[in-house]
Amino acid sequence: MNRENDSSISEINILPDGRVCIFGASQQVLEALDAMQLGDPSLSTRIDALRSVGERAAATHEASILRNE
Amino acid sequence: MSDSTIDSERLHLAQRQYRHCLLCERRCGVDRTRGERGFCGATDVARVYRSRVECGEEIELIPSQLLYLSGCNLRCVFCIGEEDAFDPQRGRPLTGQLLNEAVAAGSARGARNIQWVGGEPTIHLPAILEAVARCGRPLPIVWKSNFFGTIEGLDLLDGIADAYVADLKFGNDSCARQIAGVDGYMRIVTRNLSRVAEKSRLIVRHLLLPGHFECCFRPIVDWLRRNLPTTPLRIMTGYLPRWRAASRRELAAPLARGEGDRAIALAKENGLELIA
Repeated sequence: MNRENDSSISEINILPDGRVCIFGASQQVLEALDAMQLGDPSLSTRIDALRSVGERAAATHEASILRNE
Repeated sequence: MSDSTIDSERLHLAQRQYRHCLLCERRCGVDRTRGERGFCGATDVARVYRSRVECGEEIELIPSQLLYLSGCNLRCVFCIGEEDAFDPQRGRPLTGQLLNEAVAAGSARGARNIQWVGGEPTIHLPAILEAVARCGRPLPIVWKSNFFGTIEGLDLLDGIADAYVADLKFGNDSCARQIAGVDGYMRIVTRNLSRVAEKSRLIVRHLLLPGHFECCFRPIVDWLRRNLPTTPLRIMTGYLPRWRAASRRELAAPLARGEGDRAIALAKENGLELIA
């Protein structure tokens, strides 16, 4: 049986005691949850890491463009 | 990224596994090219049931393009993948073109690597190597596995995978037998962990299971401390009672609040390096 690709779906489960479990999180989902101030410092750490990777990738891309000019 | 290319001899050796399958330690020896099915039920066609960039994986790996392959050699009653993970007929056939498209989509969204996950990718190793060979290894490869594979299978990956992420699920054979339906779990998985740690980047993960702190988590910490003390450990606290978890009373509810902190404390007491 074939299934439709569900690549755009992140799954968020909220337990009765307020704990939040996320599966398949994108950066945007993490940022949205962080903005809700859930009191989980690991969210900010993860987002910072992603931004750092993004900035490095952008810098590499820029350097590559400069080399090709 | 590893410089190793996938040569024709390695591909040939891998394809032979489909004719007498010893990729996982169930060692069924079936001829998958003739329609015979072993425990996992997989043929010689690997299928991808999900492909996407994720940011919830190990922090040093994100963002990562995950390719989920259907079919598995275990039957963990709590599996969050549920039928997608166990039914090897689900998804699109893995081809070089599919992988190229996934890599292009992932790269456009910043993916730093390709992660092969499941189900269990080990049972599809020949198809994965074939697809990677056709794709030209444009991104580093991360192999996320339950590590219940054979040495023959691990050897096929040697020099191809840039990093391994191992799900060490249980801390004793009895729990592994009752919850995942496998025998000889500890001997096999710890053998594979030790072998991979000798020459590759390895991250060990453990999903904390409710009611299994003493029987599973504590022995895992003890084994890591004695055997792989510098291998990073990720403790996952997001257990949810999915698939058939309700068949076991202790697995029918989420992890108790505070169990994660208790586990982290124990790992730190034992000098293990914890990662997010």
